[in-house]
Amino acid sequence: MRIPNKLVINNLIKNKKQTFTTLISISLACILLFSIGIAFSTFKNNNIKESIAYRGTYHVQFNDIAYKDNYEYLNNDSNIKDIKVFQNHSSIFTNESDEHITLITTPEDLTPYFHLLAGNIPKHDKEIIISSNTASNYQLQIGERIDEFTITGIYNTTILYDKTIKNRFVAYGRYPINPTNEHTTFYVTYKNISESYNLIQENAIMLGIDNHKDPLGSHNHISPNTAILKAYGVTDDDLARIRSELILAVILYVLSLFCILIIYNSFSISLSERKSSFGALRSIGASINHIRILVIKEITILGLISIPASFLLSYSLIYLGVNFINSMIKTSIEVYIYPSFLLLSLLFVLFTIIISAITPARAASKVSPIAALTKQNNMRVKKSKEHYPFIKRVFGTEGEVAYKNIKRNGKKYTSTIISLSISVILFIITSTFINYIISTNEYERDYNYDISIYMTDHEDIINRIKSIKAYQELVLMNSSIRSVSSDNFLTDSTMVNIISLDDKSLREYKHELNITTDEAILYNPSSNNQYINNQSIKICREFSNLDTCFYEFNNLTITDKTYKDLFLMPTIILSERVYNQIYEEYLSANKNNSTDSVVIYINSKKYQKFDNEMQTIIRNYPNVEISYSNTALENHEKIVQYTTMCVIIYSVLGFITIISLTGMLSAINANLNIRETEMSILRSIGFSKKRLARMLKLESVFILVKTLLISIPVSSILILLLRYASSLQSDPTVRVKLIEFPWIYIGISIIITIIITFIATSFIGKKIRKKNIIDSIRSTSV
Amino acid sequence: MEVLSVKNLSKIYGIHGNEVKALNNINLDVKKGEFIAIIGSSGSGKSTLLHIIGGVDNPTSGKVYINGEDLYALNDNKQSLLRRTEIGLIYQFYNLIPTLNVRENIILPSEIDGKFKDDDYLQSLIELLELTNREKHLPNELSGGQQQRVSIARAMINHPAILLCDEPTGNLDSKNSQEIMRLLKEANLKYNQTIIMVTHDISLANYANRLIHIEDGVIISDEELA
Repeated sequence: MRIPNKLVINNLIKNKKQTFTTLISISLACILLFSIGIAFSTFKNNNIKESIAYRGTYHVQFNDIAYKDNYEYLNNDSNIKDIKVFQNHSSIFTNESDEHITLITTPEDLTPYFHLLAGNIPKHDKEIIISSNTASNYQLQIGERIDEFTITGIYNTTILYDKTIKNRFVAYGRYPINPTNEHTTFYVTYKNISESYNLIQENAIMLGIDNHKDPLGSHNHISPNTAILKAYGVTDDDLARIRSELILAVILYVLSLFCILIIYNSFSISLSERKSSFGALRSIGASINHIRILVIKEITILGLISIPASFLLSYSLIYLGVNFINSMIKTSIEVYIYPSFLLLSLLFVLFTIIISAITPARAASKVSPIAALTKQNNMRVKKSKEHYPFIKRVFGTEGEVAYKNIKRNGKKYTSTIISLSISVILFIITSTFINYIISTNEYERDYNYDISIYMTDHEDIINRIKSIKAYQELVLMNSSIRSVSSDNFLTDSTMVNIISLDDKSLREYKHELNITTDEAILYNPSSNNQYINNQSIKICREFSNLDTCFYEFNNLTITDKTYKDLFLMPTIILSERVYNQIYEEYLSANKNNSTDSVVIYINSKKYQKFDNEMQTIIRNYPNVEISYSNTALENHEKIVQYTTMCVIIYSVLGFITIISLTGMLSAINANLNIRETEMSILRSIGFSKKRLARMLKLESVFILVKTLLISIPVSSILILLLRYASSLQSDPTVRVKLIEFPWIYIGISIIITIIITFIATSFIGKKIRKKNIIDSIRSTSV
Repeated sequence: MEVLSVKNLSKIYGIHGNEVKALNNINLDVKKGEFIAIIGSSGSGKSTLLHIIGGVDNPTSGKVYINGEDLYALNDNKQSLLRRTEIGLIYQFYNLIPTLNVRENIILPSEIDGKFKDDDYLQSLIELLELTNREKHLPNELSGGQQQRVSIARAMINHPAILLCDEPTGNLDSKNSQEIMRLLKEANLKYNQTIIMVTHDISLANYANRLIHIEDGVIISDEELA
């Protein structure tokens, strides 16, 4: 091996500590960059996979147009990769009623388009599959016939989302193309997905459907597959695209700046410690270029070690992170790396390393041989004030020397201060945002219950819900009688709710009120209208029309105590028996044949089990409108999501802080080596090791104070700007929750900074104790 | 023809009223094979003169010609080439590369350009400087005198026109100092090596055949020694 190459290798091997520190710094920065690349790649791939499963791979549907000519035009378009044709074949009729099912046919194999519940995909003409909804609605089973078509399978979901047949019952079959069909849907996939929106527009014009708009403003004949297009980052909203690109650019800019500073710092430290070696090389005839080549070789070796190592570590970290997310929120995300993302991350990492290395390499090569040999160049001193009496009074002579050193030699600490400031700013802003997002999505329960179900009165369903056995408490309320009037309130007319409670709940309520009779209860909140005692309340069909009254309550127990906060306005609470009796009369008096509605409130600790059972009930009764809200489960999912989000974000922030801390410690370490001469002089004039350590510790304290003095105002200004931006809105009636000023996070930042200061000062104390400083005074001559 | 010619050389340190003239209009010609000792008190400018001749420090004004080549008119690449082929520098504190062994340190100036080939010359230098069996040692495994001998070998490996020695015995005891001076003299005689040595020890100047005395940046005497 040639000596200059050996020099590079030997230097890396012999200076193990410094090499290791530099490798760690580069690797940490690379891990950050690679992790972002792999995370983006993974989540993009997952998003695409989910979109494909949900909506398929096509880019646009041209709906409900004639087959003739249009197919030929699309087929001849060189931008189109694939066309799938689905035709509205005919209407087929069930035996029971006049209602029809729309039959959609295609010559394609139907397998990729459906998730089957039972049976098989149609293979031949006259075979169809139907949705579970259609099967349940018409009580159809596999093997049954509709007209001349035989049902071979029942599907659960399909990726064929055709809004022209929305809300219709449909069946799908395999059939040859009918060239005269006027209601054909073309599922088009383009060669270049990024050009999709332009191509859709071009095709729409040529197909003559670009002006056909429905009242909602979206094209009736054109349905872009927004799910897949969005997953690939293709959008027709330029503003949104620019906004997201801008946010991404800012994030990448800040992170790359951070990484450049970290790598620059570690290279500078590593090279500045060897300036005398470079001086020796220069004195024996090495040119600037020779030194540069040596430095570049060294950086290349460090890069060749740290890049693959950091890539493997990033992959492992993301793999663990994804598994953590999967276990927390029951997803099935897989780590995936797009070759383009890998290449992009690699180029970004190389770019960052090269940019970071240029300045230290130039500085190292331009070092004056004599200055390097005499160690003159290590300290660039600029003029500062002679005295700082305040600093001296507070921190003593050591403090003043330390402060002067920072003032005169500030450049050395710039990258440390900036990287630490970025950590603090990112911490304050992201924490404030997480807090804001969580507070704006606060969990609200329906009254005091975890689960609420609103539906039309359906005995079977109610019995099935009651039989779930996954709840602690269930309150059933019937509440359909709405037109109620009374002239016995102080105000003219008051709407009074009439509800029934299930027997158990009513018993409990009566027990709370100490009532033993069967009288109806009137809940009359004290803040509301005063009811005149011992007067009757009438129930009428029409509000404020006493002529339509059909029932009268004469004996009512009046209370202002509600039952579990369920009643807010004046309410008559009845047993189910009495309620049903009145309801019968209400129905006969009311000309509208309305159906009774019930509300079920449930408290359940086994909300997940309840949800599974409830979903089965909903699937089994597709024709009953059930409004089901499981706020406990939603809340649980939200908490898990927020926890996961916090864990990920704080892991990244923690990682960034560790990188900054590593940078700071290596800067301190290098500074100790570089300033041996200065320290030895101080020692020789009577500075004890303790005072020397105190001086250096105070330098760290000043650096961290400077970090806080930069980062706290910057993050405060940014938060105030964001707060102002969040207060701007088009609808003045909507109350917007403002971003709160992050006092807590500023406090936490200060505490973390104090901890970092403690770590740094302990490190300095340890280093100083170990160093034989006075010896270095001898080596300052050539 | 002179190996070295210094014309009107001046070096001023400091700026704006704080100026110190380290060298003041120095003129000097050196012939091949001369062994010159430059003496002077501390701060007289002798080391500065040596560094400027060696191309490791820049003059404020004046010219330095080495084998007729104007050292400070060259770009960095050419100046470096001249420095490693025509000039050998020896310092008080050796300035060896701590991570390379003796052999590697010696041949480093040759290897900067390409593969070192002149093994016979290397062996003769090693024998001359009594470094046999020390070739694989790292600098920190050698005594001060041995390290200085390595730095002399390194300085001579490219057959330089001039060997510049800045207090070469300043860090050595008297026995080692005498030994180094004997070796320098031997190199001067054996290879007709031109040597310019800066020292404040007048007794060492006896090894030279020309003595230059500098004070306050000016040559106050320049005499041939017997």
